[in-house]
Formats: sequence, structure tokens, C-alpha cells
Amino acid sequence: MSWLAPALWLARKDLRLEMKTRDVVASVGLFVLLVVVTASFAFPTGGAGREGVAAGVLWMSFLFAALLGMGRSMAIEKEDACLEGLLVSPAPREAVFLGKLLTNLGFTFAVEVVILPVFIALLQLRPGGGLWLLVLSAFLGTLGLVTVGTLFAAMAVNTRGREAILPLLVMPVSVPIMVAAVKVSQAGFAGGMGEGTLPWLLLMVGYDALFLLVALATFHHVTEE
Amino acid sequence: MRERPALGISLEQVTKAFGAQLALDHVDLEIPQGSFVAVMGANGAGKTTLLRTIAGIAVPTSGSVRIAGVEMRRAGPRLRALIGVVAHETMLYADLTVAENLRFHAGLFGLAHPREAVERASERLGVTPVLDRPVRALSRGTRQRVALARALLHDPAVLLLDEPYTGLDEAAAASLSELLEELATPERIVLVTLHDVVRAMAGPRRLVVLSGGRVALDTPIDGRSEDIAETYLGLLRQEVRR
Repeated sequence: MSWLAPALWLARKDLRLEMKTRDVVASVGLFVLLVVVTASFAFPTGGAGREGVAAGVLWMSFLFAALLGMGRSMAIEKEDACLEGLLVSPAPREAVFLGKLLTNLGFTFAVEVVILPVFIALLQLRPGGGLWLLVLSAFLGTLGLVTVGTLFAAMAVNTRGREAILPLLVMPVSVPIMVAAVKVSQAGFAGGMGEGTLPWLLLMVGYDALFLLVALATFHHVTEE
Repeated sequence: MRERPALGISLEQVTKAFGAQLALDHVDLEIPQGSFVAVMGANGAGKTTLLRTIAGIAVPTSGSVRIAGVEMRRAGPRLRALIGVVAHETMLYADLTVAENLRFHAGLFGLAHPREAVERASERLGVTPVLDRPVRALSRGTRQRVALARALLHDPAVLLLDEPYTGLDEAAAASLSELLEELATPERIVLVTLHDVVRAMAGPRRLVVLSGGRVALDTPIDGRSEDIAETYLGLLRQEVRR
């Protein structure tokens, strides 16, 4: 059995569930919107270094959005032992991981697509030609965060305080991708690739590839009882 | 029904520990194709762990579980596709309808004709009238029937049921008993954990009693059902005194 078909079934199921309950996107979206609006009031309207602060605030809100979404999406599998239903099926464990990864990426991107323009407008930023860099950093950064988060959410799902444990597991490991994402986004807000942006971009690509491989190789053990 | 190679379940010195707690303690069992086995024992005797280990959800701390001669630890999709599991919880998404749940699982099992499989299983279990209702809105008995429909979608050769009678009224329990008898064909293994000794004597053809994670009794259920029930109750009394 290939990985793709069951992964797509799983992602489609999560999308259908989300369309019925609006559990993840509504609650996470509102939370992130609140963060962004609050930040817009506290944010200086001019001066040097605004891009760096903006990138930091943006990625903190993306991180929290991803954490909330991933925790909820795995908690759904815990209810009524649905995760075990996935594990006793012939679907390879890697496909289960990929399916949850697709779901979490979809939910996080959906929030980001709404938040990023609002953020740029409220903070009166002028990325201009750097917009593509912002989009690229959002894609690579989210992929890295969500890959690590999906793996750790599966680890945390059987623990008692899973909501508290997930950030504790994810945050230390996500420091490199967060720093790189902030640096690349800062360049994006400033209008384009600056000196030293390329190594950060390469770091993001390397981080994503490494943790995707690690997650695929270890998800089987993570879900073993 | 499609032809399958002869299969059996074989447990060899299976031990499962959770920390210092032994849930299964050197269990040896041979369950040939065509068996209809009731697994009984007091709470915490290891019944659920035994089923979860056979299903491949739990990995033995030591020993081996084989189905059709293949070690479960190395079970590929083809072997897992032979197994149907009805756990204590339904494994159903409460916010999805019955049809959406069944179609999802049919897709996950890679069935060639998921729609037909869903229709067949829902008709067999009598859940066709509730196909469009969310699982959340169903009674415990109906949910249990949907859980069974889910487990039967792929026509499994090994059916594992963990206390399937829990929460069912008499009518639903009687219809489940009939269904299990119907499912216990010579091609299939049906393994069911139970609490009620009367039910164990009514359908299953073999009784395995676990006590403290060990096999305390393993006997065919034939004409001596009263003797067997008495032996089982004696074992339970011993367990309580301990």
C-alpha cells in the first residue's frame, strides 16, 4: 500500500471534520488575530529595526497558531481511540504521519493566509518586492515547525498534560527554524534578499529536510505501545 | 468469499510489562483458523492487553505473536488487512456521520469498492437507516453496531472484540450474539473478551481464562458448560481472595 492514498484519506477526513466543527481554524485564527491587532497598537509606526520586530511578532503568532492547531488535531484522534483505528488499519504508519502533517500544514497555512495581509496592513509595512521572500519563509518555516510539531503531538497525545507538554517539546527543537524564519521574514519586510539572507534560507531547507526524514523514520516507534 | 491461506494465531512466551506491572506473563496460546474463543478473567487480568498485542497495537516486551506464521512486529499492510478490531472504545469520529466514518475506514483499508463495502457492512449490521446521522447522536448500542460494521468492512479473517457487550441492552446483546455466531465460520478466527460467563458458554467454542496475566484455564466449551462455568467462577473467587 502506498503512503499517498491513506495520507490523503486522512487529510480529507480532517478537513471534513474541521468544516463541521470549525474547532481549529476558528479558535486559532481568532487567537492569532488578537495577537496581531494587539501588536499593531504597541508597534512603533516608524524608525529603524521595525522589520526585525515585526518578523519576531509574526513568527511568535505563527508558532502559537501551529501549536494550538496541532494539539487539537491530534487530540481528535485520541477521542474514542480513533488513533488506534488508524494504527490497526493496513495504512503504513508513515502515511498516518503524512496525513496528519498535511492536515496541520493546511490548517496553519489557512490561518497564515488570513493573518499575513492583516499584519502587513495593520503595521503599515511595505514589503514591496520582498513579498515573495515572506511567502517563502512562511512556507519553509511552517513546514519545519509543523513537521516537528506533528511528531511531538503524537508523542504527547498519550500523556496527561498534553497541551502543556507539546510546547515544551516543540519550542527548544524549533529554535533554529524560528530564528531563520525571523531573519528571512525580516529581509522580506525590508524589501528583498539582503546580505546574509541566503544562508538562513538554506538553513530552513536543511532543517525541513532533516526533520521530515527523522519524523518519517521514527513515527512508527512514537506510536508503539 | 475470496480464498485465503490457512492462518492461525500463535503466541509464544508473550510478556507485556507496563513499568514494573506485568500485564501478560509468559503467555502461550495457539488459536487455529476457525476458532471462536472467549477470553475471560477478572479486571486487570490482561484480557485487553492480550487483544491489543494480537492486533499489533501493543508490542510485547518479550516473546512473539505470529499470525499466519508472520511476526506481528514485522506485520506489513497485507497482514494487518486480515485483522478487524472492535475495541472498548468505538474508534469512530463522533462529529462525522456513520457513512463518513465507514467510507473513511474503507478508504484507509484501500478497498477497491469502498461504497459497496460500506453498503454491505451497514446492511449486515442494520445501520443503513442511520448512515446520515452523526455518530454523536447514536445510542451506545447503535454505536457498537457501527463499530462492528467498521471492523467488518474489509471482511477480516481475524476478528478481535474487546468486551463488545458493554452498555448493550438485552435485545442488542442477543443480536450481537447471533451476529458473532454467524461470523464464526471455519475460515475466520473470532476472539472476544467477556465478563459474562453465561455468554461465554452460549456461543464460543473455547474458553481461555487469564489470571494475573497468565493463562489459568484453556478449555474447549463442549457439553460440560456447567462444569467449566463452575471452574471459572472458582478461579475468580481465588483471584478475589488474593
